[in-house]
Amino acid sequence: MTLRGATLIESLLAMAILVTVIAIALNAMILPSATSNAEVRTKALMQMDVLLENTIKNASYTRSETEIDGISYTQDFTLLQNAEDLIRLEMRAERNNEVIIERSRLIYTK
Amino acid sequence: MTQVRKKSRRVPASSMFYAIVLSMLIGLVLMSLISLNYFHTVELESYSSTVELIDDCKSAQALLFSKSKSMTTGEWIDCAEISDETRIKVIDWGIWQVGLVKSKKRKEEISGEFIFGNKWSNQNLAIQLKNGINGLSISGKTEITGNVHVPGGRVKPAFIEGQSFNGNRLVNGNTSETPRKFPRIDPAERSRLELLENAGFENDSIIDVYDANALIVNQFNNKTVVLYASDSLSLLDVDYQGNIIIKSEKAINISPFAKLKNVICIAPKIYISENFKGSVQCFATQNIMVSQSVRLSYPSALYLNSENEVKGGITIGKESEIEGVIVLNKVPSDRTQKTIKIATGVEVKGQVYCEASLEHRGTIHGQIITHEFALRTPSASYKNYLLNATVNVHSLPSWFGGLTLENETGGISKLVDL
Repeated sequence: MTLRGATLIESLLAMAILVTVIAIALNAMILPSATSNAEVRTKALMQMDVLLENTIKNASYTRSETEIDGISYTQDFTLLQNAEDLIRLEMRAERNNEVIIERSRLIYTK
Repeated sequence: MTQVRKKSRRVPASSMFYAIVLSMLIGLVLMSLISLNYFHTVELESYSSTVELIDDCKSAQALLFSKSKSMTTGEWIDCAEISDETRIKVIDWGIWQVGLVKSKKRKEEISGEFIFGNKWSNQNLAIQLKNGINGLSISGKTEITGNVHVPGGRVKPAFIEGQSFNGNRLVNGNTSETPRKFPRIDPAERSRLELLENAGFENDSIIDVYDANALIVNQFNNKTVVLYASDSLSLLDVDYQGNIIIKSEKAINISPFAKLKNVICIAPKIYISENFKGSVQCFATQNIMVSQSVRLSYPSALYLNSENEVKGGITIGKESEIEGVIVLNKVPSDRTQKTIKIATGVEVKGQVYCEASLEHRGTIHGQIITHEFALRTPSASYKNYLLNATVNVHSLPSWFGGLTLENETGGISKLVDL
């Protein structure tokens, strides 16, 4: 069995190719950026853990700003009311003036 | 006129099938890429949320340390300072305390259990000796590192058992007159421990030890499991972990095949057999005997609360290792009846508190607070002499927590996660 005039099939094929090209192009644009964002966030979270550990280990509770691999990390400390031995630590990771992650932690200082 | 026949292109009908299959394949590839991206984002969100919950639990732990001394034990407390769904609880667990933290967000919940104790306020004190006119005499290879408080403020070399002192310095630290007031265990802690020894455990799950499973793991979030025996009890091939109290009205014998982790044993007499390994808090009223080559890991305790005039005490056999506290408390008026004996080759990491006499021939990484030292050899008995013994308060890890002594404000020691 044959089909006269392959318009339908050709249209289907052409459409499939067109959709593929567009989708691949979109993926090429969106996926890396999404993946890269995820990677940056994961990296920032892990880096924050290291900074936090150092802060607790050295018991240095003063405001600090650090830049590592293009991400800037800020640590702010505030004393908690009615508790002499507790400090609240606010951590923020930023890239290109855009906040990636914010974390908060109470630290026992005694 | 020649009719020009238009040449028509013919494509097999199966091409349509191929086109559709191809489109579906491409669609699948695209779908998987999009799904990958979606799940990656979901995964990251979940990871961030878990990190946030862990942060909340760590904050709750800090808050618990800060509030622990004023908190009512056994009750959950909300932590509005952290989040609406973060709660903390403290339970007394022998010498130490157990902290429980719980944090919830949407459907996810993270909880933690840890043991913590009291940090000493005087981290440099190696020896505090109460009794004696002539201070402390040391001989052989005795090494003392840390400050020493002795009557008369004197540590002197001595020649006993054919050995003279052969170290470079008598004390690697300061020596001073012992304070007039002997440090006592905090009254609240003392009565809490007495209550534990005499408790009826009405609110706990009491099981006859012979009906119990050989394996019990009980979290501190649950009711305490009390394994009770009215007679002498031998713990053979059992595995008990966590929130479990083993109580016998006569004696408990712990064999090397028993696996015990963080449990409490209460009996008039407790024997720990050779080569046993585990962490256990032993509370007795007559005798605690630890055989040789036993390893009790942190946080363990040997606590003898003994007012009767029967001769006894705590004996630790050769080459054993104890991490925690050793206490001989509330002794009768004739203090010579009770002794802590630490044999040669024994290593203690922690605190030794003795309201009677202490015979020390091993190594203590930590602190000794005692009424007097005793040394018995085949030929003679000596009072306040140390021969070939080591005490080093600086080799004790800073996170170590132990007994709460009267008027101590040392804060909280670091913890052991359960």
